[in-house]
Amino acid sequence: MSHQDHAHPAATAHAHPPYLKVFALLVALTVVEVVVPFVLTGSRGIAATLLIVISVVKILFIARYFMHLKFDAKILGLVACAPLVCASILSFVLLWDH
Amino acid sequence: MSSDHHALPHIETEGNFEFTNGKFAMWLLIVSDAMAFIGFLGAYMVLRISAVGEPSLTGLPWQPAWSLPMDLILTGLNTFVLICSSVTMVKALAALQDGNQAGLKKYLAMTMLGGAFFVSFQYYEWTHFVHEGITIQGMKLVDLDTAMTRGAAAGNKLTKLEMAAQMYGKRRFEGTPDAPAALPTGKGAQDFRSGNFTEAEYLFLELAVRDRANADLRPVQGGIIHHTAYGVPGTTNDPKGRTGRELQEELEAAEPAQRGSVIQAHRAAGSRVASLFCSSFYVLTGFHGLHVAVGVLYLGILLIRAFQGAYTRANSSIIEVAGLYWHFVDLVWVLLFMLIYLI
Amino acid sequence: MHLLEATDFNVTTTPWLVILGLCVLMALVRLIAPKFYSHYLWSGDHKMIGKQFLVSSLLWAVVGGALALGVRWQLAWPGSEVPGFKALFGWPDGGAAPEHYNIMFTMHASVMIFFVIIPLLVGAFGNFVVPLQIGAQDMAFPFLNALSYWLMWPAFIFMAFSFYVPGDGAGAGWTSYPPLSETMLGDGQTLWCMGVWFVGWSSICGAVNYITTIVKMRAKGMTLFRMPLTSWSILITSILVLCATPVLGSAVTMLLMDREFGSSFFVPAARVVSDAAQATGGGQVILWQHLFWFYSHPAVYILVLPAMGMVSDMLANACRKPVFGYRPMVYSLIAIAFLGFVVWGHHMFQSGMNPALGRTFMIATMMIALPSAVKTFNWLATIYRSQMQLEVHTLCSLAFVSMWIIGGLSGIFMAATPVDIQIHDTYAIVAHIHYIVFGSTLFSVFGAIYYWYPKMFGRTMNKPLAYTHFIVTFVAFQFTFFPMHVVGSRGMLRRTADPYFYGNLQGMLPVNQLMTVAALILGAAQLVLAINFFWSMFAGKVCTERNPWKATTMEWNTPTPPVGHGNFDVIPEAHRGPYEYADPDAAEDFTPQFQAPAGSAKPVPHAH
Ligand code: HEM
Ligand SMILES: [Cu+2]
Repeated sequence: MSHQDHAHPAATAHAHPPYLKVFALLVALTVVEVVVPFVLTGSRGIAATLLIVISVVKILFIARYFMHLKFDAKILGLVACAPLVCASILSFVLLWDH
Repeated sequence: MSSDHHALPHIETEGNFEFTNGKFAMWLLIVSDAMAFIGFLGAYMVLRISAVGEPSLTGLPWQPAWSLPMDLILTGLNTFVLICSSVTMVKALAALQDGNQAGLKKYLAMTMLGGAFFVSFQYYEWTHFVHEGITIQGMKLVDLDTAMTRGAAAGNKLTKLEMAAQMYGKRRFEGTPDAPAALPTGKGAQDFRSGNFTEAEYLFLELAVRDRANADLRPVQGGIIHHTAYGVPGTTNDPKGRTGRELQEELEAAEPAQRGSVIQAHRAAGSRVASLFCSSFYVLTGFHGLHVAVGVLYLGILLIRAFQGAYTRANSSIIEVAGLYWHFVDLVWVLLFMLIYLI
Repeated sequence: MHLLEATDFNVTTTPWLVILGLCVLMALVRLIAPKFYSHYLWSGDHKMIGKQFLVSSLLWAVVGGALALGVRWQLAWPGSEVPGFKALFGWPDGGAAPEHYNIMFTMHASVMIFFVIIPLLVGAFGNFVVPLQIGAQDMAFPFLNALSYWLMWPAFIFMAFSFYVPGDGAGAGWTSYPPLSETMLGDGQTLWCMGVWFVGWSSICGAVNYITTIVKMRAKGMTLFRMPLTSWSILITSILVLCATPVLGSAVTMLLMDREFGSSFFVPAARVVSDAAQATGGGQVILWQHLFWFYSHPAVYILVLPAMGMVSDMLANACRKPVFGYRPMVYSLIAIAFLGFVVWGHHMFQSGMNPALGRTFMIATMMIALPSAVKTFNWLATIYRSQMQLEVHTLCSLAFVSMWIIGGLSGIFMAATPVDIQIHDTYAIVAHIHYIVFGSTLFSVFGAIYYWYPKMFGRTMNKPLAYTHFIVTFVAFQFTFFPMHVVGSRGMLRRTADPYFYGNLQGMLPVNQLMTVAALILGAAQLVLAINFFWSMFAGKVCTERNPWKATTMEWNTPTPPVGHGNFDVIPEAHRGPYEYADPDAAEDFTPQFQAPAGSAKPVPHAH
């Protein structure tokens, strides 16, 4: 999903990331999320999977565009991944032991 | 670009990343904050998953949204407001970077308003819940009909029989060859299946032995529910209502035919039962709400400074750093909304 | 809103008032003596904050030490009054009652871990040494730094008040397992939670600051792989703090909610212990253990990694040799830190956790021995055939390495589930803990005090006193803690007020009396340190030499003591790796990092 070249938000007159498009996408996904529990009442498993996938997509877009991870130094992305690693370790053990 | 110390020699730095110290530190704070949320969410997940399939008096062992007086549409709208405030935040940054001071102030103010609206709605939701008897300790007993109405309003399609089974444990209304169930007068299995029964009649029946993975045989108890691991009626130190523990004891002592009235008496007296859902609901939304409230204050300070003309393209990273915090709070809400309200 | 219904927040108001009083006092001082205030109280200078941490932790260590002696007293002379404790804590039984024994060992460990070791390593030496070593003018955020120190005081006030509130103090162990910690009557346990909460904030503020400083503010030429190991270890430790501490924060918050507001995260189903008026529900006690150890195993490495870094620096200096295998030292630090996050279950083998998990944790724990061994052998290789200078910091570093070997080995034994079934919750565990935390970490701290003291205060400590302190401490330490391995593996339980209640333990009384006598001597020996420390501060031999130990790292390129804000009077620049000792081409036997290469302005890349 490459778009206009974007170096760093400190340069002079420059294009901004497509904030409004991301916003529209987030809103659309939220609408889908709210509708899912009403529609997919039959299978909670499918509904849950769908909801989780949608949230992950939303989170990725927020982090990459609104929080600029897509355009920033790699080390910040690395920092942002640290809690993901910890979270997966913790939930792996907790779920195995519940 | 890193420090503006007036001190002795000017020290060149080796780690010359382009971002400011403040931005890096905010990312670190976000990491640690995320870990705090992960602690809470981990607890939430474990408690919730462990509760699956356990009977409980309050609707479901783990009350999904529809068994509570939650309004998904309203909360969905509140989520929408938070997303809006996220996009106005980036807009504020973009305005500043384009040298548009008016835009900066406008968008900052909108962001702050969005946050304030979000917290206010949360406050409304909490008071509404408390009004309905749902506190951090637990909730009031819900009767079968209320649960059915709430479920229907939220598009849930459980039959009355399934709902009763989830609330009061699965009961025997058909009997087995060696132990024919004593049905309340005039009722047959057919009636039960078609949902033609009252709560009291359902409670009159014996609790079915639950067979979990062929191993976990639980003894049939006279009461509503055996001491399963989760969703047990607990005591509350609510002086007004009698405790869930008393309820448990009275139920165990009561004749089957009296159980319905015991429950009704307790319901009237405002007895409450402990609920892990309630505990985690308040702690999670409270912790997040606190973040939003802090964010609103943070934005307020930025706004005042913006009106004083403190921000220029050169120090726009101050706004960017605030934005990082704000988007993180938004991002966490995406998770909480999904985990608490939707799944 | 009636969210809290009938369970009003009942922590006694006194600690809050005292904290408020402290704030008012600070404000007054700021008005009356602004210079004093900004120099000694709310100073943004990392060197002053380091010294503040150092002095306060040593004071707090007195509290922790007294409690330890109380515990030992009961084990030697069970049921008798501990001298002074009646007056000190207002206990009519002077600490003889079992519930007071519980409070003593709980608060001993809590104070030592949260208020002595962590602030000493990270707060004191991290603060003082790191910016100097990497050639920075100060920490990245002086305000945050001061905050990190001053958050320790509310924390300590809460902890201290837990002794004096109505009901009993905190006695559920430093691990505070529910349901005991949920049903402890009185406010002591609640205050314990508040204290831990504040310590957590202090640590996080510090960690953010260290990581930012190290990543962003290294002087020119100070690449990551030219950083001395002390700075490396503080970086890695800070990452541990950053990722682990918040989880303890949320666990403690849930515990507080359970205690004060009647939620039921950790309250097992339908359980009312001692008629406590708490709501009960269907929470999970093991959940607490998971969350607690998810923090606290990384935390035990927080207790030792900086010590490893400091010992590496001191050993290289004392042996006049480069640290053997500098890069492996760095990589093993990273490996230990990472593995530290996947082994916490070894504290829970006996908790009823899924046995399959036990096996996983056992293997992961044993894997930690690999990077630990890399470090150990590298230290040994550094020492091997060196021209060692027997300064006190040398002796302390040697003590570190040898005690680390003993403590690490017992760790590997305990990591094996079958062995751990026998020795879990016995004195063997206590021996393990103390060989690591006292034998290794605290000795390295002693060494670090002697080593960096001239740079801190511009005076040197008295040598004969220092040697005396070291030797007495070292010998008394062995007599205090080594027999614990023996009694522990014979089944002597830890956390038991009067273990001789059990017939099979009765024969162990004499050994315990021996250990207690040794502990009393150990405690007394610390007076020597205290006297030396405070006396030298005002009357020690003045030292103005920039580099008294002929060391190679950057902190020795500052005036002694370093100039106020800004640290350096020359432009710091690193030209080579941190351990250029035994350099045959050098005029003396070493080439400092900051020495520009002769005849060329270009830094010479150096491989190690
Ligand atoms: C080679 C490395 C190590 C291994 C394999 C190891 C292993 C273990 C194991 C298996 C236990 C649990 C024993 C039980 O309760 O049954 C334990 C306890 C403990 N370890 Fe270690 N350990 C190691 C290093 C350390 C270090 C470096 C520290 C601290 C600086 C440390 C501090 C502690 C503490 C404080 C406890 C007791 C916690 C409590 O129950 O109160 N250990 N260790
Ligand atoms: Cu451990």
